[in-house]
Amino acid sequence: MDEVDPQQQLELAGRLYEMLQPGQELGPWETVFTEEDVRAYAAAIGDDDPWYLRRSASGGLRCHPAMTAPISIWLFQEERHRMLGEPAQPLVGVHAAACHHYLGPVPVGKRLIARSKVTDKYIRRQRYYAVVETRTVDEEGRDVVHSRDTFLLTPVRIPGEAG
Amino acid sequence: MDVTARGPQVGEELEPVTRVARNTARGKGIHDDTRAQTLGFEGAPVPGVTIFAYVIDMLIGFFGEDWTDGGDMDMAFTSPAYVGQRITARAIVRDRKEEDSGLRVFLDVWAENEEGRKVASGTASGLLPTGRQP
Repeated sequence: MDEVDPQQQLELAGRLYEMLQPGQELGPWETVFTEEDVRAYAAAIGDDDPWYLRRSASGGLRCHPAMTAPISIWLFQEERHRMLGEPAQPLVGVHAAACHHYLGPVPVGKRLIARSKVTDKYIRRQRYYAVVETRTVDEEGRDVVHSRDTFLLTPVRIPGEAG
Repeated sequence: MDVTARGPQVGEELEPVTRVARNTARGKGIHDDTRAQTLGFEGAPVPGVTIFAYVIDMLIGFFGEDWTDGGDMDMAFTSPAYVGQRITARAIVRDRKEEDSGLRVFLDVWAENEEGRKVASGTASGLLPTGRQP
């Protein structure tokens, strides 16, 4: 466990907020979800009867759709590390909102390729936010999911900020 | 039976899904007790994407496994959920629209803890193909 100091968190978040630019591209980022990954996911969320591990009409296994939900988080974290370097403590953010539009089943054993873009940043209720849109396709170029995620850069409030 | 002839009515509630919340990202980022407490939380919050999964399971139960062909969901994680809480995903039909291939159903969705406090809320939609009953 890394220690965190609220004041340093605020400083890091402010620095990141200034550096993030709408239009900034993140990724590409690739992954393959295996059957073992899907079983591990089902166990992790406490799913006793995973419908997605039954054969679909087309005969293939599928991932739980929510397995794609962290992709934009991973992409954003990777970019955050790249931008902030190796600070004495990691910046600890919060996933504030997620909007996902699914365009097909999430396949098992196929490469998924995700690309993101920072589309907005704002200060609300004395906190820094960033919005990231992500398009994930499979290895044949078929769209799997389009998402828009909102990240609270730190839960620490900006003193004196009225926004 | 043609679902557009019956189908779910505005105001109808979906069958809820209840899960005991688990921390699927234990120790990472904000999902660490000490780190989260330093930043003002009671403890490590359960990842929003895990709550998202519970809501999706409810939607799949209603729309069927093909919900991923064009289904969508938009949720804000409004309040932290903690490990061991019983989280219930719920939805109510807000609107319905007939399309060539079936009935598109628009929902208000949320997840609440055992005290009835909403931990996430938003909207979702999906298509009930002609011939399929929820």
